[in-house]
Amino acid sequence: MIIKEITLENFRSYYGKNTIKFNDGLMLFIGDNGDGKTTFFEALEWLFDTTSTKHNTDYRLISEKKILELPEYSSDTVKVSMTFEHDGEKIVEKSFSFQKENNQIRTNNFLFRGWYVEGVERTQIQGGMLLDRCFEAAIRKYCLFKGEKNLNVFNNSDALKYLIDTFSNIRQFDPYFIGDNENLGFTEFAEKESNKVCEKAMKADKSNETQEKILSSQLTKLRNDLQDVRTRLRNNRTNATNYSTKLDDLESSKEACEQLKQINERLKSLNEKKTRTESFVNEDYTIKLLDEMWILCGFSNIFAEFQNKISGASKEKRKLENEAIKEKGKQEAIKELAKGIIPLPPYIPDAKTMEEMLTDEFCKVCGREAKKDSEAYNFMYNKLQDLIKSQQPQEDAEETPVFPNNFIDELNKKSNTLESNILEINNLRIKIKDYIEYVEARKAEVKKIQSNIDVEEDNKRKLLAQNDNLTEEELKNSYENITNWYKSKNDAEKQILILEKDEKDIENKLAEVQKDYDELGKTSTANTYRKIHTAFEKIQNAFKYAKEKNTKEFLALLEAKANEYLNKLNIDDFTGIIRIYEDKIERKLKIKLEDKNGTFVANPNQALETTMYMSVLFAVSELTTIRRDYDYPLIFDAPTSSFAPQKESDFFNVISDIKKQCIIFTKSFLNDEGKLLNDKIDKLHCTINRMEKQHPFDKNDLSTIQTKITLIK
Amino acid sequence: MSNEDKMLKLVLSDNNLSSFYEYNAEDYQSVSDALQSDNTVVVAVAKIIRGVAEDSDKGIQKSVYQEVFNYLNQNLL
Repeated sequence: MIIKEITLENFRSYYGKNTIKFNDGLMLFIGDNGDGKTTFFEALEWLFDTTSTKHNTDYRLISEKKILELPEYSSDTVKVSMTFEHDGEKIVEKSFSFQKENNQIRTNNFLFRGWYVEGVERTQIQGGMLLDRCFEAAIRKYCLFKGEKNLNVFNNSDALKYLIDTFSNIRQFDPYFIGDNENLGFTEFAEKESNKVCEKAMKADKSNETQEKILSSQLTKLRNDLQDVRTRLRNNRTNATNYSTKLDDLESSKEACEQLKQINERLKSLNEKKTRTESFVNEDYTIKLLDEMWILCGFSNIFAEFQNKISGASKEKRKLENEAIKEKGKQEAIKELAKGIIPLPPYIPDAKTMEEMLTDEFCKVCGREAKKDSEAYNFMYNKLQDLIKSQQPQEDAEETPVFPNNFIDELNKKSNTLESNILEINNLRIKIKDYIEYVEARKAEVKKIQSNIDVEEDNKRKLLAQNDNLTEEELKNSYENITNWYKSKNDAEKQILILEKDEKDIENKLAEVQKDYDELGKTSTANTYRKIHTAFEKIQNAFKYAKEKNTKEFLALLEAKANEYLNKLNIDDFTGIIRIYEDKIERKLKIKLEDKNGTFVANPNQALETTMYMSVLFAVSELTTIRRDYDYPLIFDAPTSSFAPQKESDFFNVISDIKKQCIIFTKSFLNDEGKLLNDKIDKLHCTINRMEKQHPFDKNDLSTIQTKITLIK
Repeated sequence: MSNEDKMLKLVLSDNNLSSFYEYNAEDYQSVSDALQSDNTVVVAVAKIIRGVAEDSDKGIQKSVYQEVFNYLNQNLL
């Protein structure tokens, strides 16, 4: 199967329709974190999943941007389709519709379809069926890998067995020999049937009746004992395998357990520190405005203005008072000057005479006419009024001060009083400044602690992601259960050793009794049946041997191929030798790295471990191609995170020379600013696509994220 | 080489079987070759491989067994 084209439509960050052409050989998709590499990979996983139904129409698969743009009561489609070559061109397509109603998204109309060309006709078929036919689940299992840690498909205890079962032709032996007490292959059936026939003939031979009964009874007992021991042996092996698997998981995650423990301790300490520091951050500044009179912090300016105004007012007051004194002095001086001329007394002429003159409108003093309202008339009228007034009892004239109230003085006094408070107020400003600086410093400290917490949380997430076979709780519990598991595993292994010895003893005893029984048969009429049974028994053992040899040959081939790839992938570096072996106690196939002297390479560096597993995967892929006469793509998401830059370039060039469709999503060949390292890219001999987010986007808004893919080489 | 032929070669390569029934495994490259053999057990193995392979029905065990049993009964000395 060779992928020719993939189309992603409205699948998460792949807004609208995105079609990418594929070719044989290596294809790199380079993108930074969050640029859509894993999304593309997961789109393929979604397409290739022929089993799940609940995940098929998950609304979270829909492009957020499309959801945002979609008008109410409108619908659109999420679709992933793949065109591939496999005995002619074929298409497989998975899709579902979605509709926006009252701002809610409803999904429906899930379709999983495939098409193949037969003659000139294009025939439609169920997608899962077509996929299973052309890219069966067993092969898919060894074709898609997410992350570096998941490359070890053999972590799963059944993985190698599954691999052998699927690709080594071992299943072809099942109709002949199974090696399981519950199910019988043909040779096992034939052995048992021929044995029954033989024993029946022996029993029928009266000449050896007594001896036959004794031996037959011993054989029955020994066979029952053997079956019992084998059952117990199988149970103990299962237990040992289960505990061993758990311990292997734990062993691989032992470091993770310790790291998790340390991270949790650091997180606890950081959270306590954060809580303590946060308790020092009290930003109730509004309350402090009145409760702690912070409101007065601006008082000194106001007070200065107040003092200026008071000073101005005081100055103005003094000026006005001076002017009043001057005016008064002036008046008094005028009066003093006026004292030199003796005026007539007010009663000359007298009141009666003046009233007469006013009535006659004639001044009889100066002998002139004085018409009403004339100046002379008014003079006479005023003169009369002055006379009348002078004849009234005299009141003491009080002098009215210019400023009868002491407001300015009071304000001055107030100013003087406040003058003594200004120092305290100035100190308050310093206190407020210090307090705010302290709070800001605590806030900065909290921020720093939070950033450390974020880093630790991120580390924890990464750690758990790398150990995704165990949850955090399981990781903790497993660590606590380790003693019990080791004990149980050791107990099971001890039992296995005892039972294996018992099995051997019983088998030997059985062989002896069987020999005696056969000897007895030689002299019996049942001798022919004994020979037939022996033949069936030996044929059964030969099939058993053939089955085991087939497995060994497959593993030897796999190992040889894997080592070829390991040598290619590790240029100028220590490689070691891959060994695929059977753990005798657990009866489980394992993979390890040795040096040429047979020394086990414990804890190889991540890059070496990655190339080891990739070598096995390439070998598996090559063998499947040989066994199935078809090629299959290998798809990796971020498999080279631990590689040094040079090793990475060499690695990709080696893969590009392998002549196999290999699709790799990576963030390699990008500098710290996310720009392509063109000089390194120029040295690669493969197709390269750039994946990146369409600009501009809002880093806090998913609906602005859209991935675009550009062919750059 | 067919899967049946590969299986035959693997089965016949068992030293216990070849030494007990005195045949040379290298002489038999295919099931057809083995069916023509003078060696009774080699023929029996070939009959088993061919007989079981031709019918995946579980009931086949009895008929193949009967055929091979009869063959051995008549030819095994």
